[in-house]
Amino acid sequence: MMSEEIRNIIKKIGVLDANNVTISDDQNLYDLGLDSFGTVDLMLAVEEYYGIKFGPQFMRRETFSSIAALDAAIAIMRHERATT
Amino acid sequence: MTELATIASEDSVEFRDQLLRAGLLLATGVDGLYGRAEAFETVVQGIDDLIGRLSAADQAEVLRFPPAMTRQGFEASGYFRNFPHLSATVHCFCGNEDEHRQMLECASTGGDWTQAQQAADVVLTPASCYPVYPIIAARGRLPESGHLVDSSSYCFRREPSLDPARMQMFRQREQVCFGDEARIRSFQATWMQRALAMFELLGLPATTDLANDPFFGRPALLMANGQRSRRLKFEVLVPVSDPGRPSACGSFNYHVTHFAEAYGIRQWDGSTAHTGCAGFGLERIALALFRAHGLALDAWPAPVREALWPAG
Repeated sequence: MMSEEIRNIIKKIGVLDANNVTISDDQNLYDLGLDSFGTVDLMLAVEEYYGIKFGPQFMRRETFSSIAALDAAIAIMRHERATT
Repeated sequence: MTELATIASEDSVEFRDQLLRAGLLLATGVDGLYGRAEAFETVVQGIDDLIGRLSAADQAEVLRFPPAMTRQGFEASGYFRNFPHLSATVHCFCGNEDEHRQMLECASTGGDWTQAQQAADVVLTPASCYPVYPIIAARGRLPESGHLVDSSSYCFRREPSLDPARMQMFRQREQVCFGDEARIRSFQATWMQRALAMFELLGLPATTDLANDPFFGRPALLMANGQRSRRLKFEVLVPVSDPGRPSACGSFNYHVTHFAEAYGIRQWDGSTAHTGCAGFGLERIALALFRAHGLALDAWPAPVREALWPAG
């Protein structure tokens, strides 16, 4: 399940204030301490894990605001990659 | 290494040539690095003093800095993560007499003698507020009312250009505010209003607009969009080199807790402080004045001269 993989990536790179809390899919990651540097780290870690590149349309705070939002963006990028 | 200057418009290059011919700026052979003549410095001093009069009632702590800061403080700021293309480190010779001789031999044959240099514990200051944060952090918790600093220094940004408004070394006068979010937002709004009033006094057309910093690399768009969506940075735009493309002569920034987390700045109650800064580029404002009112100071409109150099 992709949301679980994203959850693991977030924990692995340690970009939230507390690393041992359980994060629900819809919880706002910025409220949990994700900052601008952390957002870039998360983007790069997700790109490496899934072998994708975030396009300009995804380069917004909203993309990284929750596990669910990130899940949806990754699904679109993987679909686009599979169909091009 | 030969550096290519960033693209500058014909208007910008022509304005630069006018300034050089008039002797207001002196060419050094490196784009964006100039000597300043007495008349140019008279204007810069007038602007600096005017900003001082605008901020006098705030009773900010006045701090002045050399154009270099500690490498440790610079690294903590994260500047080279976001702006490696603008950063500049200081390197020095640290060898013995043999290595010195080798270095001179290398130089005499046109070799790269700089390879014998090692990074020093200082870097060139990118913005005048940067040396302020570690000093405030080292004092312990802020007072309940927060704190305000009036800073100034020469700054360096590696962006060689034929546009005189894009200097590599320039002076900033920057107010730096410490407190909670409400205090910083209020400070940001106050200085935007003050800036517009100041440019009106100087007879310069000015507007404010939402802005973003020139971040490096592919994450730049993500960082810039984040900065804009949270309304963290505004600029005051004034025609300088190119009448059709106003340049930022000041910026008003809310850093949220970025610098406070980087340096450990705490509010009176122990919570992480918020910070903001309001900075003016003194050379750019001087150039805007020369552009708008001509190259001869004694021909400038009387109200502008009075604003810069009040009688009595």
